[in-house]
Amino acid sequence: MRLEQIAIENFRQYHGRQRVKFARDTQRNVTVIHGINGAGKTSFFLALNWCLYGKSVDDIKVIDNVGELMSKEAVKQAQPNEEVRTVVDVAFSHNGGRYSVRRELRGVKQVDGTVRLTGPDTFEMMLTHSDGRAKPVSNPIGTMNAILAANAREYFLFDGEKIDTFAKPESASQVKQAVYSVLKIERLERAQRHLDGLASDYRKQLKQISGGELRNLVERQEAAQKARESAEKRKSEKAQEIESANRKIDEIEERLRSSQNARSLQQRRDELQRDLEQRRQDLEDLVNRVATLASTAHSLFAKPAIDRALEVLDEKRKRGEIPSGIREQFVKDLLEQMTCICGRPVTDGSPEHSRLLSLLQTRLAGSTEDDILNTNALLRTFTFSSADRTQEIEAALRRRASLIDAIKEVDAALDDVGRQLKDSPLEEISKLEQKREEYQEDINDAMMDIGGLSNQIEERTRELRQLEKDIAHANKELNQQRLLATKAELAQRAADAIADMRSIYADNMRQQLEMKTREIFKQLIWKGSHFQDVQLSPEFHLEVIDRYGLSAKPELSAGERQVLSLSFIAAMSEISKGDRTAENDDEMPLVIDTPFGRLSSHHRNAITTHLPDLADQLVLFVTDEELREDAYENLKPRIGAEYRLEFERLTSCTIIQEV
Amino acid sequence: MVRERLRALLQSYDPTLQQIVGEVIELEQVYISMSKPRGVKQDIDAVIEKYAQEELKNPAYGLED
Repeated sequence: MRLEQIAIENFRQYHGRQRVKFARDTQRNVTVIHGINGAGKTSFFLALNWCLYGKSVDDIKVIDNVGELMSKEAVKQAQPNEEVRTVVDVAFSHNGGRYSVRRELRGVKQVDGTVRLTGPDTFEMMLTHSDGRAKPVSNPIGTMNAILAANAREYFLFDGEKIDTFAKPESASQVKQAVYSVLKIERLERAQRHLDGLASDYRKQLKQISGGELRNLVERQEAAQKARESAEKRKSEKAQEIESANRKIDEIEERLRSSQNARSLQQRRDELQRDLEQRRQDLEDLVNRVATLASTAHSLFAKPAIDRALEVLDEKRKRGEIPSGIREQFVKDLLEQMTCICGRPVTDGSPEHSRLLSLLQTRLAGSTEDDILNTNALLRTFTFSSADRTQEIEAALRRRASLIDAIKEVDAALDDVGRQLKDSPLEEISKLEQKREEYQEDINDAMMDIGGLSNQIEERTRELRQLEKDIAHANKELNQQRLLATKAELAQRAADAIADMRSIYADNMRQQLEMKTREIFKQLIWKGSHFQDVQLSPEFHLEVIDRYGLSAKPELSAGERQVLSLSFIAAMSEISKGDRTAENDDEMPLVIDTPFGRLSSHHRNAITTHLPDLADQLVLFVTDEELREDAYENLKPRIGAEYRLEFERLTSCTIIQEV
Repeated sequence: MVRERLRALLQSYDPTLQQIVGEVIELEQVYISMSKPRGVKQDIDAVIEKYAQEELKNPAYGLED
């Protein structure tokens, strides 16, 4: 991120719209903004922070307890009911793109002089690509976080007088927080935690839907398939047995037909069998016909209710409560034409006229009238059709009874023929008939078996159909299981990879940071020979070791603590830099409010000499006392932009003047 | 340095894992200012799902042991 410019409009003491262009040159990378106490350095610094992050980002406070942001002068000059707005625009480049962000606050001046805000502040971000195309960024807050996270902001945009935090003896947690935020270890920690959590969720879901159900279903399917095949095979065998027995019976009957002594009885049997076959066919047809009639005979059950409904409708019609079947429009037409239904003219006040008027008075709403007339007609068709249906069913049932009786008679006659043949004095005929009877019994038994087997086959077929559905469902679950198992594996492997990387990376970064902080501290501190070492422990204790090998941190002066903190921040900034390619650029500016307030000239000189080399871009808000003589001369060759904040006593507003 | 070091550490993992880790840490950066980021898990789930579906489509899936 490299700051290009800022435009401040009606923000605190900045009335109107004022602009500052930041130094961006690599050699002249320092922007100095001079201002005496109260001139507006902190307000300028706040404007930059407010524009990029607002008063807070999610759970992180950015601006707190600073009073009203809207310019009092702008409010004063506005008329009642006139809109007042506060706007800060910042342009910066990052990773080859140019970003323009705007935060805006709008309000309306009230009669009593106060301002009623019309809503919360708004934040917009535009990205201009290298080809000049600009388009709005859909997630500006997330994008800002990705460029410079709100939690890392305070290490790049900070108040110089308050940065001794890292040098205090109890600073380990702040140091750790800073390292985690700036060197992006926190996001690794979060990524690992979230991936671990997801892997665990996937495993739980997997446990819920798996359980070997598919295997069980497939086993059941195989068993049902085998059972059905076996039943079909047995059914086929039984059918063959019947066919064979029928052939034997045909042969026996042929022999009886050719025997002088049995021919007439066999012929009688042939005749009876044809008759029996015909009657059985008739009975079957009749049974089907009755079934069809019965399936449409539900109106028979409703007949008493239908009859009662028709009675009620008739009574109401007689009493004139419902229309008599004469449509309302028809009566209206008659009245308009003053004509009776019979065609004769009607005079006003005549009985016919009164009757027509009374018909109209008993009218109902058009649709209700139609419903009643239609219902009446429909109910009458029910009564007719149900009477016909009843008669037809009764006749069919009578015919069925007579057919059953006739079949019984034919059966009895056939039994009689069989008995006569069995009782024949001729042994051959008797034996033949006995054999025929045995074959017939075999056929009857086989038919019974076939019936049972057919039921079994139907049952297995139903079971197989259901199993197919269950298996399809289980297969779907299996696919889900495979997906969940893969997700669990990937999430866990990613979490484990991050865990491994994080510990190596965090330790690498800590060592780099320790080395860089030591190097910078040695450059900036004037008592370099007294301080032997700077250490950053694995527990993130930032320690200064003196020439006696002892901890010097408790004895550091306020200025030395500030130098140590600044060294630590500059080291983080240095380490967090990218590889400086256009596409991959992690450079960050250092924006420091009152950087040298507590520092003696030795430290000021050292910092002004070295700090421009340690930061990609440096923006300093300084008082004249902070930056004078040697310190200013040191910085001068690196200054690319310089402004002075002039506070106007008459208006209490600040004007930004380019130096 | 931060980015290069992370990239170097990631190199030892298979390409799918590198992609997942890269996308997940980018997502985490977007949500970094929230102490309890709502939605980040769903977003990570979408990343994992995308790569899991790709793994399942891969004919070599399940052959490794």
